[in-house]
Amino acid sequence: MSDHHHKETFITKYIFSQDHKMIAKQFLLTGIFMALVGMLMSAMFRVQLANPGETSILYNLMPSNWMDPDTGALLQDKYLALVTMHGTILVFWVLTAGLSGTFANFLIPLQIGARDMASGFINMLSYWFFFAATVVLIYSIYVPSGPASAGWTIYPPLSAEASYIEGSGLGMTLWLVSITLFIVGSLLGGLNYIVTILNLRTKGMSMKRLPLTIWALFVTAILGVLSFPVLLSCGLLLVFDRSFGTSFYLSDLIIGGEAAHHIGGSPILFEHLFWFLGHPEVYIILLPALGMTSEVISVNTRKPIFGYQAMVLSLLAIGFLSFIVWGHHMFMTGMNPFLGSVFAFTTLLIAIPSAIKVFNYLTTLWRGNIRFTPAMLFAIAMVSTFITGGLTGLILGNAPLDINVHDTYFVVGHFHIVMGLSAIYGMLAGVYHWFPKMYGRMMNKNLGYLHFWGTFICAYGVFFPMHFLGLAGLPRRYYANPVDMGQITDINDIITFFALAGAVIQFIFVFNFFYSIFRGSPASKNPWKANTLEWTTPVERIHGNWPGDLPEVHRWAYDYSKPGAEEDYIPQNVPLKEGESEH
Amino acid sequence: MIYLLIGGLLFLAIVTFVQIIRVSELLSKIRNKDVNEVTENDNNIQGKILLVVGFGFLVFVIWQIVAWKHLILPPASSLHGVEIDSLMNTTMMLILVVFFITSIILFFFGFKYRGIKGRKAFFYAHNNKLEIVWTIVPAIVLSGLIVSGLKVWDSTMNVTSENSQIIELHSRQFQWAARYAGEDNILGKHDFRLIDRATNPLSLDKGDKYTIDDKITNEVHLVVGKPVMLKFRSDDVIHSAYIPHFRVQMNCVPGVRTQFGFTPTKTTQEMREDPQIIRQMQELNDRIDAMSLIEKTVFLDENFAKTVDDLPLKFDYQLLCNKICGSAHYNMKMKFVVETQEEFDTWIAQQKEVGGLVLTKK
Amino acid sequence: MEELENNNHGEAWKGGDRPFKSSYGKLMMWFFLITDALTFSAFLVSYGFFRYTAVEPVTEKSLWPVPEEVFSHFPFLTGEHPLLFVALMTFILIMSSVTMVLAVNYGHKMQKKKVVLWLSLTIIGGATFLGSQAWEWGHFIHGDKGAIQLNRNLEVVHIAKEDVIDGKDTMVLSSVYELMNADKYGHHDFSIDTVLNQLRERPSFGIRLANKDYKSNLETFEYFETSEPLEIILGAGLKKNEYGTQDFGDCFFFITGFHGFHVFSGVIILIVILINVIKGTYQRRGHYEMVEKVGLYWHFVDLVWVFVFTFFYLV
Repeated sequence: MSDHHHKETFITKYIFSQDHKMIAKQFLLTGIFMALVGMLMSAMFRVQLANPGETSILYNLMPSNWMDPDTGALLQDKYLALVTMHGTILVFWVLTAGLSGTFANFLIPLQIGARDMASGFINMLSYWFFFAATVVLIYSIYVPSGPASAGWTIYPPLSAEASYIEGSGLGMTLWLVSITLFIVGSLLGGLNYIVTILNLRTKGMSMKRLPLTIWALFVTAILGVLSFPVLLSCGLLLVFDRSFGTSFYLSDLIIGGEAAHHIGGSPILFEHLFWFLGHPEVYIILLPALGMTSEVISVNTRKPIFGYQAMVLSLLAIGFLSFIVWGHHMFMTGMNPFLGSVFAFTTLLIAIPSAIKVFNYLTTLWRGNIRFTPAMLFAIAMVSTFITGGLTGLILGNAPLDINVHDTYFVVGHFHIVMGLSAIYGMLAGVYHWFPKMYGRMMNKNLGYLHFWGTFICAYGVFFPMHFLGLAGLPRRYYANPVDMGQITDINDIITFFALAGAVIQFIFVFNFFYSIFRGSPASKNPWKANTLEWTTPVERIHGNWPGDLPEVHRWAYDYSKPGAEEDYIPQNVPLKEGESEH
Repeated sequence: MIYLLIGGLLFLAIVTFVQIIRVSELLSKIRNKDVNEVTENDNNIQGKILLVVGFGFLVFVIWQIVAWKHLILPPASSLHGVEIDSLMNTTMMLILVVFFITSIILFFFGFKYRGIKGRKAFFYAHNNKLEIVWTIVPAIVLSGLIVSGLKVWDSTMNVTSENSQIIELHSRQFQWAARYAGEDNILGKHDFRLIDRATNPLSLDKGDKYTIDDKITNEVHLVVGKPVMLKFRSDDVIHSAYIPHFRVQMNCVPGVRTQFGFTPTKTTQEMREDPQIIRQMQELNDRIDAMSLIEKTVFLDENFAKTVDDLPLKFDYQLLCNKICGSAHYNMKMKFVVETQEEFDTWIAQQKEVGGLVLTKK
Repeated sequence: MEELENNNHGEAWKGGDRPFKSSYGKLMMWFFLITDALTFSAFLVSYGFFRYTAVEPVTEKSLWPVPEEVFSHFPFLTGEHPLLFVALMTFILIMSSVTMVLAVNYGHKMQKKKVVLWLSLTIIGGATFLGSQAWEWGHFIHGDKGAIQLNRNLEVVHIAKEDVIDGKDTMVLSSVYELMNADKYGHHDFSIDTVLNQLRERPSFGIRLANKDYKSNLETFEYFETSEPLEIILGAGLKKNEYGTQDFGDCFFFITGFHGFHVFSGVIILIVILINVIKGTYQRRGHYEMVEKVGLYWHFVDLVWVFVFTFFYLV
């Protein structure tokens, strides 16, 4: 374990660092970069949907062979390439690595009172595998045949055979290589998080005193460790089908007008294996956001989070249930209807712990004294979008109702609101809230407000109308809209307008973030007057986090406005007074 | 050139932001306050904005419902579809009620409890009774939804093909073909290894006696009120047969047999007389009218394989591909027509039989 | 990095202690093994899917090859010895786990020489298993009965011959080599026409279908009318194999290959650790925990093999 007196070079401090705080920032910066890439891709395909078949300057960001040589319009399969890469980048790179990678790395040792992660070396490896995965993925965008284009869900046979769509050639191979590196990095990280939380909690930090953020990150890491290996297996079998002629997923195929040799495989097997990861994956994305929102709301209402125990239990319930609902992505595959019933049942069950969380958030706000930092605004927005997006899940999870909305814009609206909005808002709340601890400076408040309101308004403007498109029967992943839909396609214009406006507004955040790293006003040790242990470390961030001894914990994390206390917050390491009882 | 412009604008924007921040920092120094400290004034303003924007959002939702309600699918044109619609409406009502109540509470609480200096928050950490109430109530409501859902699911999916007209829907990149099972209502066998794009595009086993009377068509006609069993297959990638007006959707997976049975209840003609459909088609035709002649011709040809003489466009049931299948995924459609028995008999008589040709092999 | 030890083990979850009384390294190995278990589970579940969906419609007879018929050879012995070699391989691997336990045991006692002995035996066991698996693969790839691939559903059928058992006329499994009077260890290139001609000239030979039904010589040629013979398959590859469905070969190579890769990496790691033991690294460190961690990995590899053996070969 590194001793905070040893000499550091530029390389060991900033590049191959083993310090969890630096690794967290590496994840954050890579995540922000990839978010911009993914967002620009979405701007491109939104422009195509609003002005189908026309050219746009935005397309010039991509290689020239992505456009029709005569009209300059985006080519049909390259539209699908954009949609695929957008999904891949945002689901894995931004919302998994960028969210969990950043905050698990940054917060776990600090909030449990440890010097660093259990193994700094493995932690460092987890970032560099992620970095390698990023390089391979970005490279795949520029190969002549284009990147993977079969949707981020890459169902075979479309993803198995290059003659079915060009991107399923080299681009798909690189995608598989990239995701393998990504999975290895994720697993290394996850192992570290779990072991650190188990073994390195400081004296007095029992599981019941853990901040909700840590509980959320703990459950998330367990979900990751159990579900990513199955994606690895799924991908390996696909690699063999593509490159070695096996028939795990393929059967009865006609390729180039001739019957291929594959027999006996089933694409449905792929779907089962993929979604066995795919569903826990979305909770891997959501849970950290929920955990951080709990923290931010509590600190900024100056009240304990309502129902700590219920919140922990619902985290555990959501985590457990997330493993038995994956079939709701596959209702329309022709699976045995009984199996469909089982999945519909378990899916609707998962609504219960989610509802409990929402009610608990609302009750936390009640009779609070709210301080509206930008982080708090994002946390409130997170709750709003969790409500909006979660409720439409009741339709999608109920099998017969899914018949008419499966693979339509209704689904796109649902998952964007829960992942694209809820989880991203949680992540942004986290960035605004913990920036002072990460960089020792404050982010600009007014730019934060501007960023928030612009984003909140534009984001709902983009995704709420999609429900109507879905209810009208408009399928997703369509390059242009079936014209029979008539005036519906005008809704696309509105969506595109808000999408482009929203994209531009994100640059306020990017500017604020980078400007504040260098020129933000200096932060104090505990600018939000919060209770958790990370705010007891000195302003100048040091290896080993605390000079001298590790803090000892005497109470839970939510003694805000406790009756009988002088201040409206009592940090966790403050011993109980005479006659004071722990909550 | 355009890049220089964009680069210049970006640079200007950054410089502007920096100056704004610098100015506000200076102002704060003058007022002797921390520029980034959240003040009571901030809380007041943000709280009010939250209320306004929050309620604005809810009004926006209502506006969308009012403005776009006529664009969503009309009531189902099938027996099972009516049950689905009923469950969907109930669920929607429920969702909207919960959405409005919880969102209003959220925005209102944000506003009402906006921070005031000196006020102490109320230390309220838990209430087990409350937790139990709001666990049990959702559980009961959800149980109701699940039970109804499973009933509808069972009656929709567990359909046998007795008394049904059997039609096979064959899919490949990027077209559909339908094969009627003929008088014997039994489909002839097929084997993908018999494929020959020129002479046997559906890889039929022409030596099988049941194949002889099968009829291959490029649109599907159904008799109103008569059950039909669609059988799906694919030659290459996963496609999905989505016929939204019937509330029918089923994946077409190579190597896997899938099917969907249903009964259409409204003829195409009846749909053409439905007010909501009339309104939708009117808006579409108005939009086409606004185009120039050249635009119209291209537009109609590319999207409907029709000409200017076919205007104004009339409603038709459409089968759409609904699983990403490659570049022309968005344009893989087939027309469905629901008509009376007599009209159907006339039409089917005109379709050619596959015939009993010699077994072709590779 | 300090750890505040709390001597009251009942309080181990209260922070400052290790609830599972293990170092972080050992915990990490356990969790890594869980991830690896899930990877293998995904493969075994897929295998189960292929095996149990390889059935004939209506009759529901299995079309999957019979493992006892496929894996019936033993090095240096002739004749059929169903699953004997695989059983030996399993035994060897299990014994190597036993030697591993002994090595860990002596490690706890800090007895370097004994650790070296038992670790070496474990490595030898692992290497022997790998060598045996290689022989198994070689034999699988070379094949021993040959088969004919037919057009419809790419069905793979085997040569059968008439026989009298217990006074009753019946048909038993034969081989292409027997039909052609050829030596099965030579290199052959039978064309489909040659084999079919031979079949016509030897009426006591017939075929056995994928669903294990036998067809007499006459019935065979009737069957060929409905499903044309395409080619002779000798041996096995990823695209086709003489034992049956393509997936059988694919699953065999993939699952035993993936497992073999784990055994191989395990052997390499064991060698590295052995070198460290010999150098006295752990003696100096004061504990042989690294041997224990590698031991966990080795036991895992063994356990996976038990599952593979049970579900792929035995059941």
